[in-house]
Amino acid sequence: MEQRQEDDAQRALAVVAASQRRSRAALHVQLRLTIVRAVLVAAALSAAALPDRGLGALVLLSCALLGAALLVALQTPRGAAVFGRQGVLRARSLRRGELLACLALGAAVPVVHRITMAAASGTGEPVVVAGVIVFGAIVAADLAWNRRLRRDAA
Amino acid sequence: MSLVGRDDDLQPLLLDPTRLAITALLGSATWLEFPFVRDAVGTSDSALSKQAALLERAGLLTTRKGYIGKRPRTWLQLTSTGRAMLSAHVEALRRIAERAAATPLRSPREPTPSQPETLDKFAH
Repeated sequence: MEQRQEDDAQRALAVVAASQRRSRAALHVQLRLTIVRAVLVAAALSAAALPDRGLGALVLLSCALLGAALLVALQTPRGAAVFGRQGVLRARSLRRGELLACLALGAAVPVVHRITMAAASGTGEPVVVAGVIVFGAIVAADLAWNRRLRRDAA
Repeated sequence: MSLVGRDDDLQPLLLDPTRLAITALLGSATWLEFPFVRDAVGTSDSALSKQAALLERAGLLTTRKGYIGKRPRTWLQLTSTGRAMLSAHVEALRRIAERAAATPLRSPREPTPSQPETLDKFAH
């Protein structure tokens, strides 16, 4: 009797754990899309602050092209799996997070840009260096979270 | 399930695996789209509708209908009562599992104190 109750409780706990894992994995996928959107918005915002108008226009054009590519990718099953289907999760916290991420990245990109411009004056394109640093940090955070999700699932 | 009456915090409504899966899924998010819940739980539209309506009547869940473009959509959300009930239920399940794990299991051959030793001879 005790053994059967333990089995039932363990089975129910396994159902809860599996559901929470699915939900968290979906949130992770959705967050990737949020990050990509935030990066595009941040790049567009920082492009407006660039002193070089030609370069600013180029960055804005790149953002628009990347945004369009993302919209096309979301229509394919593979793209939807990587970036998340639109509207699967309507987490209010995620929308707030998206806004905060846009603002934080919008503020961070010009700051990193200035720092790298000061540090590497005359050596290559500081905007590229700043972009690589910000993008690298985002990818590292994404990978770390993915690893944590996999560890939780194991 | 044989868990009925085992713990006061166990919610009878959540003893059903499908309803438990739905609430656990919603417990980790704010709003979830109906097809996502259906696919994750592995059930049909009608079965999910039935279970969602049951949970909504009990005050554990709330639904919202809307449109994305021209396509009608339904979203599900766990209410604060639902969240509280789910965490109480999960805690109760953990307690049962821990209590059972703490109780030493007797081997089938080992005689219990109430069991006469002579019976053991005839058991083989």
